[in-house]
Amino acid sequence: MIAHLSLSFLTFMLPIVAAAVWKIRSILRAAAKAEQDALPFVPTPQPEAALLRGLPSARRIFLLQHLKVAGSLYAVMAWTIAFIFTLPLFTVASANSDKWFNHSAYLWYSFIVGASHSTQFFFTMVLFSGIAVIMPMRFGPEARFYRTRPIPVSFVFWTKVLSVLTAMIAGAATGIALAFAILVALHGPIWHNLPATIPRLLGPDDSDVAQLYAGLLVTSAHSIFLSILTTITLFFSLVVFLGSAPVLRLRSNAALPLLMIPAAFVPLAIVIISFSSNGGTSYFFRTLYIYLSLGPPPPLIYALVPIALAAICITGARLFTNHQDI
Amino acid sequence: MTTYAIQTNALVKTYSLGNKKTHAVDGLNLNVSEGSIYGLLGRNSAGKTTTIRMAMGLAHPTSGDIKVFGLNPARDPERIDVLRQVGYVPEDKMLAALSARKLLELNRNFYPETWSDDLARKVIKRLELPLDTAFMKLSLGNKTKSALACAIAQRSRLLILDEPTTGLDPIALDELLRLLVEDCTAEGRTIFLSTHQLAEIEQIADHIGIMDRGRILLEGPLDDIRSSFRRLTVTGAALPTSHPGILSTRRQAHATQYILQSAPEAFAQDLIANGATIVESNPMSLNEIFLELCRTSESTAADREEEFA
Amino acid sequence: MLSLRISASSGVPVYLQLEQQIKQAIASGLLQSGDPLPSTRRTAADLRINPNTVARAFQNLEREGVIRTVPGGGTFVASVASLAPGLLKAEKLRRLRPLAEQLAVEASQLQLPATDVHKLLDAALNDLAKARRTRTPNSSGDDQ
Repeated sequence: MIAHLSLSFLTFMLPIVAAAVWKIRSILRAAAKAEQDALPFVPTPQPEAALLRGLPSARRIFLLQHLKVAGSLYAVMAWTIAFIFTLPLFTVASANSDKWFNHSAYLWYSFIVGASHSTQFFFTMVLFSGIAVIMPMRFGPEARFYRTRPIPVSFVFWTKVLSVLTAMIAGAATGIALAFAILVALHGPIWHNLPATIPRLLGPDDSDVAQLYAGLLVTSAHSIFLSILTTITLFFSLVVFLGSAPVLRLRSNAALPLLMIPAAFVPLAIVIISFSSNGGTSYFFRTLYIYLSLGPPPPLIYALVPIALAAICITGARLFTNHQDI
Repeated sequence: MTTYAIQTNALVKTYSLGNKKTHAVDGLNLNVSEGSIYGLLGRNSAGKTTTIRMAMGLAHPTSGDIKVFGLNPARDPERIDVLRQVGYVPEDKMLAALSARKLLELNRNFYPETWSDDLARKVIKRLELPLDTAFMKLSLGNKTKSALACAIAQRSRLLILDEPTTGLDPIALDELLRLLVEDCTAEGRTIFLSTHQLAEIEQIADHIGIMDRGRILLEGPLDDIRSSFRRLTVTGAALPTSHPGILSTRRQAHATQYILQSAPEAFAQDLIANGATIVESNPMSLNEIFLELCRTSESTAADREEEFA
Repeated sequence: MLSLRISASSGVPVYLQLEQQIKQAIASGLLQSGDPLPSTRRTAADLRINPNTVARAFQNLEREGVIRTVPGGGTFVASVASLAPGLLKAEKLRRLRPLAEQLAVEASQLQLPATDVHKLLDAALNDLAKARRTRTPNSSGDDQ
């Protein structure tokens, strides 16, 4: 089991690490070559981007930079999501699997439960993305550089926030679609093969499986997928909001790593709450359209709650940026 | 009407750390006229960097206001008009963690109307700036040069340099002064620089502001300041102790030394008319003027604190 | 050819130092009428001083007729012949009067007798004349 987990973890990390290593090596090699060549200063012409031609060159270059970063984020996000979702399809069935009514039911359960558990991962991923978006706007040389170039503060803000948010949402959606396609390709539309009632075969010791199955039957796959997207949006906006809040005032960026420590507790706390969720907390999560455990789907209209909250958070963060000392 | 590149009016900036409030800038009135090379002098933590940060829109005034070319540098869209016309070398010299070439290539995109590749090459050559050394390996002096090359090649209407000589060796410093005079002053362009190194500023500046504890102690054309300050050593009886022109008086064994800050000739003639003998009358260097002003300001500040105590 | 030197720490305004040095160069024959002067910006860059200061010195010199500026053609040393006779003697004396006063004040403060001051002045005038003789080309070589 342990060996299996570490193997799958390796499979997961391999392309990311390989891509990162390749990128860093090519950068280092280019730098070493440049240092050796010592060419005179002849700037390379700006990349032509037909779609962005209407923008002033300062904004175009800034936007292009961020689209590049967003592209990588999109790829990592899509890969990760697809990996997490399809992981149960390739793992050896756990001890309980023979108690499930048929293989389709067990696969479908694994797939869906993987989706609801992936939320924990998003929290970490989104937290770091949020910090990576907001901190370079407030602290350090990069913040001062862009704050002293002739581009509007609003343009900097929206470019950074929207490029990352869009990349994450699009990446997550792509990952889900990919995982779903793999599931269908390997096993066909298994969700049509679920027995509609709980068979009597199970003994009194198996009430947990029965409960899980009951939960699975009422769970809506659409809602779970939608919930992933709204949760990413909500949590990212929250991080951006808190990160821009004037309470956070540092005289130097030396204290930045310290900031990460309390911030890392947030997702941890949420995960713990979700596992020990009773009626009260799950109601809270339902309202925010956060789908952490199997069960009946929150009404679709609730999806608007996190979106509205996210909009408020981001607008608030935008207002804060106007008055920040950098 | 004279236009001002930078003008502040009762500018105040306070920082609160815990319960303690620090007045980094405390009622500053500054007038930097266009076409001048203005040297803002002051000791460490006199408020120079805070003032510059407010001029660049990086910090917001607590009260009072600061205008760059008559515009508010902290609020879009005026801010954009300001920044389009300003080149900036920050105190820590770190514009972005990039090699000089990358930084220059990035920066030129922001100033398509004024940027000059030729001038960039000239600065690189004159300052002997290594283009491809990784940022982490750059010495402090080379970081300074990198930031300077960016700002100078922008050919902006106003150049704001916060301690632009940090880490430069004497040759690089000399080349910098030459570049500033040769390429950054034509067509009525303005240089505003802060420093506590007086010698270099004394050479190229034509306007001086001396700052201490967030206030301006003295501001004006450097030649006027030089001609209005004088050190007189006088012997005689019944020497005056108060006169509007006296900055400080020091009694020695047989003579009295006056530091005068305005109309020294008139004062000297008064003394002679009253029977005193002027033993020595020396003009003062900027360095001496600066030291004298800071000491006087310190002692009056101490007096003020005693009064409150 | 013309080497100007500025001392920033002397306390004497830089434009005055410039004016004096250019006048001195002309008086000693180092600069002769019609010789071109470097541009304001060039002079400023070479000396690492403020261009406005150089411009101020040049303006003062031009007002006194020491140099002349041809629009678009640069700055030249004015011909001494055209300047000096053009001025009334009274005007020349008026210009020198403050310097003489200053010399007199300094001398009296140092309690130097008048004869010594006269000797000093004579020596300075002699030095200048000697310098001019050695530098003026047609006064040396050709005749001998």
